[in-house]
Amino acid sequence: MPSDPEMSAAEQDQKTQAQLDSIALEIKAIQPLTSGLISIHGLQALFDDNTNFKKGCTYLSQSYASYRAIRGDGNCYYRAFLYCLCEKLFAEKGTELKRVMDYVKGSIDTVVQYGYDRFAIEMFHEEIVDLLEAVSSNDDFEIIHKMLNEENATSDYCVWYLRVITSAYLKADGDRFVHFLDDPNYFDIPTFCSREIDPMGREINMVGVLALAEAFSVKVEIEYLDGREMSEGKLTKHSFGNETSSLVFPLLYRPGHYDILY
Amino acid sequence: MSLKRINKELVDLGKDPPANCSAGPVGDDMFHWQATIMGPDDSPYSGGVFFLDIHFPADYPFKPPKVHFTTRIYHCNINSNGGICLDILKDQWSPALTISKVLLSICSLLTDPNPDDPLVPDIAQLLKTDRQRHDSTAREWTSKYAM
Repeated sequence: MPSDPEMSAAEQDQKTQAQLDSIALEIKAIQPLTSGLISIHGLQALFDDNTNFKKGCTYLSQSYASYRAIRGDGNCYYRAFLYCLCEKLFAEKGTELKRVMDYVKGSIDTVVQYGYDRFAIEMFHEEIVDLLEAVSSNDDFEIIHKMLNEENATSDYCVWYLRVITSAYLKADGDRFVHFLDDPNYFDIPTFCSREIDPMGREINMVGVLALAEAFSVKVEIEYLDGREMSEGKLTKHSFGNETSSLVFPLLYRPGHYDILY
Repeated sequence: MSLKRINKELVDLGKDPPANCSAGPVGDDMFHWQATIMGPDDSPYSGGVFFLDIHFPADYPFKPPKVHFTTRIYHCNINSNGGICLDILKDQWSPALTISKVLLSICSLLTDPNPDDPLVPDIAQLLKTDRQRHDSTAREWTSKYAM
């Protein structure tokens, strides 16, 4: 936005905020938090012919049937992770569900050691425990899908708790993760967490992806549809977390955004 | 949900109040609070009592509370309308923060003004060039408006 010399910094600030708020409202009106399944061919229509993006879509259509679009509000990675977690645990309903449930229940005692007030995060913790209990007790995933699409409710509360888990995991091993910070603005993990992980709406970066996958001991697999030249007709694919986990979350990355692949 | 969280904060403030600050609802509306901050001893605001108005948005704690001074104060990051330039009240807000933490941050802003990101450029300029005169004006305003 060009700056107007007549406008004070405060007015400028207010105007920027108003603009950001209206963009957020617009996105909210047209994109569900987590969509239904969309044919993978639908992706192709989004890109121009003869680009690496288009070629990447062709590759994806050979390996995947559909994708689930996640709202582009800066929380997409966490929201995709949460949806996959519920979906995979719903399908499994066995030792992994019990393991994740025990981990999540106990996690509040760990995260409070890293600078969070228990009373400020309790509600978020209760929400994710309730969600996992709903996953365990329901026979119809549609109920969970609806819970995860309610505005200003379960999904946002759990998304933020996943941010807390990510931060705490990074802080617990700061000496290791500090070397992964590729943003020149940050030199230490606690500052990075308070500015990039804790606030809602901040996009995740590589170190966060790694931390969350490791914290839950699941395998996150990401196909990178990033416009780069493909090698051997394939997109770059990386996996994070526990390589041998039976819980595998296949995600699609496009610049600045994540969706789920099926 | 917001109301539940605001109630929790109120209980916590009662149990463990932050040093030199207090806060609580104005009347029956839990979404509208008033707070006071005692001017920190090591600042030109020492001895003053500053009142602040707090409004919680409906989607609190996902969005930051709206906080402004109702007592006039001479400070480069606080304007004549009481507006405060503080990152955690804007894009650095996180649901992990609480009113108690916001008030403590404002206290440290009183002790350590940030002239590189000013809301009132004239005051910031004076702070940088003539700290003594800046502090004496701040003390004058404190005794005039906050005592």
